[in-house]
Amino acid sequence: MSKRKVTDAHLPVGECITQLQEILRRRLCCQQLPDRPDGVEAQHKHLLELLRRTAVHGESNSVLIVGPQGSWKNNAAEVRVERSAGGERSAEKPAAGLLQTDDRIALKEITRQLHLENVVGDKVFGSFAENLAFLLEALKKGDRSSSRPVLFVLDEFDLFAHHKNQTLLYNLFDVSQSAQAPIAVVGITCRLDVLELLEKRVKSRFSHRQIHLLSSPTFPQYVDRVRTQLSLPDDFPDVKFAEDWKASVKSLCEDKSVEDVLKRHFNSSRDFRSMHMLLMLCLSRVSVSKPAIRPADLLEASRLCFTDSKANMLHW
Amino acid sequence: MRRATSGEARYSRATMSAGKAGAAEAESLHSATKLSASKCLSAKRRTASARTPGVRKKLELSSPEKSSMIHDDVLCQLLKEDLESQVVLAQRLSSSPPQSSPQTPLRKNHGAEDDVFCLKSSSVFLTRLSGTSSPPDDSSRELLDESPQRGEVTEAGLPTGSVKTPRRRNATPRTKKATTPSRRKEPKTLKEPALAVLAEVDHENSPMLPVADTPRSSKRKSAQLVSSRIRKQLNLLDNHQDLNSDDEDEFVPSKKELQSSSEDDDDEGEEEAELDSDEEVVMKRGRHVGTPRSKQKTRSSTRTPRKTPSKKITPGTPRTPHCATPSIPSRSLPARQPANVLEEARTRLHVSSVPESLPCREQEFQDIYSFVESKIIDGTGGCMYISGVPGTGKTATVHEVMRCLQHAADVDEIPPFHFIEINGMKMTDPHQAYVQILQKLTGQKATADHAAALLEKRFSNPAPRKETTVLLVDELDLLWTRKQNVMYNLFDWPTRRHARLVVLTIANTMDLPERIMINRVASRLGLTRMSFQPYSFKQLQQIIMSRLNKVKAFEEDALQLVSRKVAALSGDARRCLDICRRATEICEHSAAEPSATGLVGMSHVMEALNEMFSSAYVTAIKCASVQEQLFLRAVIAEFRRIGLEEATFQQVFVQQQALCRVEGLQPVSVSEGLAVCQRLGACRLLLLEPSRLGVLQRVRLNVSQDDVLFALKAD
Repeated sequence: MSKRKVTDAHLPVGECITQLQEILRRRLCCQQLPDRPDGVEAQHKHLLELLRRTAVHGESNSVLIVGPQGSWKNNAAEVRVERSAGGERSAEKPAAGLLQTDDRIALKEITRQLHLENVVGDKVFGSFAENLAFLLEALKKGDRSSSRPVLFVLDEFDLFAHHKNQTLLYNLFDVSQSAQAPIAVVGITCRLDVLELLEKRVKSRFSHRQIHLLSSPTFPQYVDRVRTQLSLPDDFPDVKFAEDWKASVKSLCEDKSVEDVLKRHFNSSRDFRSMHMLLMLCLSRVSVSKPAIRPADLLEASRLCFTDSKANMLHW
Repeated sequence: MRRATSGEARYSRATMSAGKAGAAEAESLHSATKLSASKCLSAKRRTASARTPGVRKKLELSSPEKSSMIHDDVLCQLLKEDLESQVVLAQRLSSSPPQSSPQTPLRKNHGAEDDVFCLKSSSVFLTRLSGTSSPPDDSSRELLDESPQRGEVTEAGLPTGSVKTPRRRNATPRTKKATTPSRRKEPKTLKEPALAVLAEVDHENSPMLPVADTPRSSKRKSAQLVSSRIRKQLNLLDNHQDLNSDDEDEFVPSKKELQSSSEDDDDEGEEEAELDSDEEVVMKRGRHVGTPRSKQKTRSSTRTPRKTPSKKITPGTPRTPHCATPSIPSRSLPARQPANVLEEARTRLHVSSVPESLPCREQEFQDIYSFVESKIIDGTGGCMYISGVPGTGKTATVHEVMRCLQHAADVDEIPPFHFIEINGMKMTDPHQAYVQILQKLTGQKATADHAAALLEKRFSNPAPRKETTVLLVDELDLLWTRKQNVMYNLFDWPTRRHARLVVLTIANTMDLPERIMINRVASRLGLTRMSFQPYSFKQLQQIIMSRLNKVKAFEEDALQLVSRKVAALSGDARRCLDICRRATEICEHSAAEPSATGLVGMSHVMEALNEMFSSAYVTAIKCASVQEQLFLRAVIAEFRRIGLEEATFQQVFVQQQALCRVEGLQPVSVSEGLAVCQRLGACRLLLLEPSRLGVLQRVRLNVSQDDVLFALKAD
């Protein structure tokens, strides 16, 4: 480490490549959010404001985030939580519809995340009914001014709507509409018709705020995105390598054949996931002998992406 | 014989009245005089009958029990008169030192102690009942023996200890007595200051108390445990910091009480030899004297309706719920108050904010109010069915009625009553309704079947001075079971002669009784129906205006637009309030600087309405990728070709390939086409069969073809 600081600009190429791979893989695989929201600034602001009010004023709210797959709804929610929580750290309770397949499991998870199971000591929760009564009691005891706001994030919200009687949703929305502990319920789903799944009583209690994360980037914006995703952070140790890399990415994006490939991808899908898939394949071809992504790599990666898996199996 | 002894006791008691009375007695009188004579009588009657089930369970000898009860009643009444006469005395003598005449105070105290024990034992009387059947003569004999024994005690040189301890006990149960009947927190807090003074006086007068206390407390571990728990719970319950010192006073006696009661139970079979000090002798006697009394004084126990024996009352466990209810951790920063007009308006418009009054529901309010009020006054039961679409103020109105009735009960316009609320949505299973009702009624926990049996017993057995119970059943339709026994019971109880139960049921559909209920259930529900009509636009406007309450944040026209729009769609007040709230947000954002926000105008409201009512399908199609749009077009083309609203993926895919060629795009592979199809299916723009069917899965549109074409044409 100390050696690197001394010879700041002259890092061995191998180490640079390792670092580059590490940074970019983390970005592409862990679905890191770009620093600022693209094309959904208004929605972002809306959600941020809503959660801030819950956190600061103790106002209960409920909101649905609807967007197609791969529009980073989840990340949007998470980042927003972090920012909104600024002054008042609110407790968050993400619950995923795929994991909590019924209300009983969901309730247990909520209780666990609220750290309420410690309160009752060694008492093991018996029945579902007890559990529900327990949680409702807990929420009822709080009030607007004194208790800490709780944020419920329901991932795959549509699956919660399939639970029996929609008990959990009814109760969450009911709490959010009555003078109890301040809570914010954020449902995340990709179904546009999710409101039709709600029972009329549940629907009436829902505040009907929907935030649609629908953005239609133009092709130049898409290429821009690719460039941003491939760019290195400013604090990369080897300045010279960073500059070389930047130049190579720039030339890559201006290449005609690359543009065709990107266009095809853009036409097929505009979400981040497919783009990350493509770039990941390219990135794994970068090595010491060829420390940049070349157009040929991209073509090959694209071919792999679009390959027809079933036809391939038949060809073999 | 028994009557004779009781008569003796009566006389000794009467002489007692000449003695000086402590401040505590004065207090007791205070509460005693509050109850009118008739009330006392009826209370006694009620206690007698209320106790019977428990008694029967524990012991077979019912006739001696009854006779003892009768003379106990007499005793109690005598004591009451006795005490009443003491009021004056107490007031007169309260200034003089209590030790002035050693003999009378002792007796007095014994009387007081009896009283204490009666009151106290109301909580534990069930466990005691086993002992009480035989002790009457025992106790009365002791009453007769009192004076000589007391003389011994005084000679033993422990006058203050023995005298004062009971005194102090006296103070606490009085609170209990004062509070239990009304069962509300407020009266207690009101009572406490007065009591506090008394307790204080006692405290000063009894320096020996700690000494007398310690041997008892160290004696039994279980008792200690119990007392510590009780202490803890009292601590939890008590939220009055300023009365701390008085609370301390309260805790000690209660602890002792519990100890003695727990020991009492054990000691019943054991030898008296266990007692080793004189104070204990006194206490023991006090207890024995107290036991028969406890039976008559169970007035409080009938109020706190714990008439069936349950394990929890056994001395080993405290009878308060063993786990304190959990709560959400409190926030670190205080919640910020609304800063400007818009924020103020938003707070007021939030559905959760409780309005001062409920406008536009006056007629319904009046109907429900008079219905429930008449039932409470007559002491009869009845059912009412309230229906209406969501968001029309059904639950809010009933709550408002209950608030008003509760207020009326507080100022003694109508007899006191219980209000219990259950919600079909807030339970996991219809049978949980029993459990919840029982728990809210008595605090007991039981399984559904057991709870049903207990409730059945409660509502079918006569019990004098039983308070009317008002039960609100929200979301009634969820209590439907195949045999409909839950609903049957709920509607059957009010028809029982002694139930005094008023059931208000709320559901969404007007014809619910006809639709889902079998005849015998529907007929029991009766024909008292009420239907809440959806709000008209004028009413909605009035609701918003009343909520805003002169906070000028909206333009008149804007309000009218919102209310007209909502009234046309659903008449749901919640929706109306939500839209208004959203409009204030939009207004706030649209303003250049947050300080200079104007009124919420038409444009803001329009935007909010669009946001809430517009469907996102068109936008979603516009934002879809080129291939997705092509796929949708291919679907429509294929539908047109085959003349059906359904096609397999294979057919659509052929169309898509053709379209690609027309558009000059590279044709997509099957895998890619399937991925596109799945993405559209996930958004529910398309309805798909499970994807395992591959190319043979059938595809349908979830939006109208016109919408799709409109969306695609626009770009």
